[in-house]
Amino acid sequence: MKRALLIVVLVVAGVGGFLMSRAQGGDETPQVKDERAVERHTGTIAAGERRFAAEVHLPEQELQERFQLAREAFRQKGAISGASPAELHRTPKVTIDAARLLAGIVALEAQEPERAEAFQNFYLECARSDETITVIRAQCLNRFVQAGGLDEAGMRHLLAGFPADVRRLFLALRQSL
Amino acid sequence: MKMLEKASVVFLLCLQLAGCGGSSKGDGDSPFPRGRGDAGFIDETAAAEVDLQGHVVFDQLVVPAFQESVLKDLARVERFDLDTGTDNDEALKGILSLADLRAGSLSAWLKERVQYILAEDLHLYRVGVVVEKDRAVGMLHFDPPEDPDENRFMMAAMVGTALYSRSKHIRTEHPEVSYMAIEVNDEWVHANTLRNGVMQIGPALFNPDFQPSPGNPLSYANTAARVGTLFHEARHADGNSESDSLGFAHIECPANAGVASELVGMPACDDSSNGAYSVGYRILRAYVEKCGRLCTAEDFYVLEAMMLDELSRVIPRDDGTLPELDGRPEVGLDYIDLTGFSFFPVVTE
Repeated sequence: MKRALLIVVLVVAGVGGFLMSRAQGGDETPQVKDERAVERHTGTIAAGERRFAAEVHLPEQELQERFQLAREAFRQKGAISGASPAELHRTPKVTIDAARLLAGIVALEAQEPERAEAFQNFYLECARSDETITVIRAQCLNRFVQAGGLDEAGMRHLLAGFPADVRRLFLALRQSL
Repeated sequence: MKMLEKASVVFLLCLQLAGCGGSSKGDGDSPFPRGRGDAGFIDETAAAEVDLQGHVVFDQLVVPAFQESVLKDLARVERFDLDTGTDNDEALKGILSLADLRAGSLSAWLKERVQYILAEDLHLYRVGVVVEKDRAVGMLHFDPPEDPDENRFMMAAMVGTALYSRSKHIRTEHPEVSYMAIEVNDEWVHANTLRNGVMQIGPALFNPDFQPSPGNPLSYANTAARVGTLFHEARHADGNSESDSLGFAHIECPANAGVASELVGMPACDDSSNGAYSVGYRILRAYVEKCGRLCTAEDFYVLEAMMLDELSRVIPRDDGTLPELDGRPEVGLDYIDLTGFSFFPVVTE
């Protein structure tokens, strides 16, 4: 019995250490570069869909503000790099928020066909930015290609200017459907 | 030892999934290609081939609202085929070793791997160390986390795999130890095999911050995200030591081309073609390709991002290969009838 007790104590110590590996860095919260941007775009998300559905022909300044809000949400790579392992095992909140804002931009684009060039420029800027979350870069690139109607040759030429991680995800979006 | 080190890293960490992609071959002028989704809905009143809801046992510590949500998701898994008519079908069937993607087959797959669902606070559970030779079980509790908020990021974790894997490691130095068990609703669940079915779920699985549809907890999109997580975690109940695939442990994301720079150094990647991230990616892709009218525009883009995030963690090895690992579960340890055993609490200093 004593030997069994000793073994159990050793097991506890080992298993406790093993399971405590879950805790590595787990109490860190992601450091968002611009807290104000988070608050602003969170508010936009909350009102987003209904608001976009009602608006057409935004004043130029307001359109640029929308772009800027989305831009700030996209450029959160640093927040991901600084997140804890526990948080990074799922899609980070900043990625989800950024994707939601991208959806809003795409919805806006549908209501502003005469501003197609401005949206195309926005998508391309998003895709090219090294600060943009990689997943969002791929989504922006896909939207750019979709909206621009690039043929295969044009797409290949475009892709040559992108890093492997973005290319891979973009090509996954091009499959099926 | 390498396997153990790998096993120590990520079994208890969890992942969220999602996403699907648009393409220029989508819905004409719509900026939101919805895929070839069902025009209809998931009929949750239809008869189910496999009873997944009745199979699952929730520990009493799991919040009732969480139980309800999971049961709702499982009701959909029971009734929602995932074949899409795209290349995703063959890939998903191959990864799961299924002949088809009918709801019944997918439910059976999940049923083989998940049965007991525990709450996130593991320190509240009594764990038993079985020593057959002495006909004794030493009972203990793990220490609570130093940070009480530690579990807020937990979505799900295949804790049964961790217990089994750790038992194997301990036996190499202390062969008197048989295996570990965990008490669920006053009954001991033996972790003598990989397929002991013990999974934890945590608050992040239901946190609106991490859901495609924060305003609609029971939406199709949120189900998709949660189901992706459940299948991802269930994959950790596969594999064997002989093939170095036990539990399909994650690896540290390397600083290689093809790896998103924001992930480098995190224990959040797979270097096989059929690991947990691949499972999550393919499951989510199927849900997104079948979004149709079940998804809002925002749902679609968020799910697409979540799906891509999953894929971004599947990394070829340095030699460029992405091997398919042997997913067959190892035989495990012999089950021990604990009738007549002495149970004693272990007090640790």
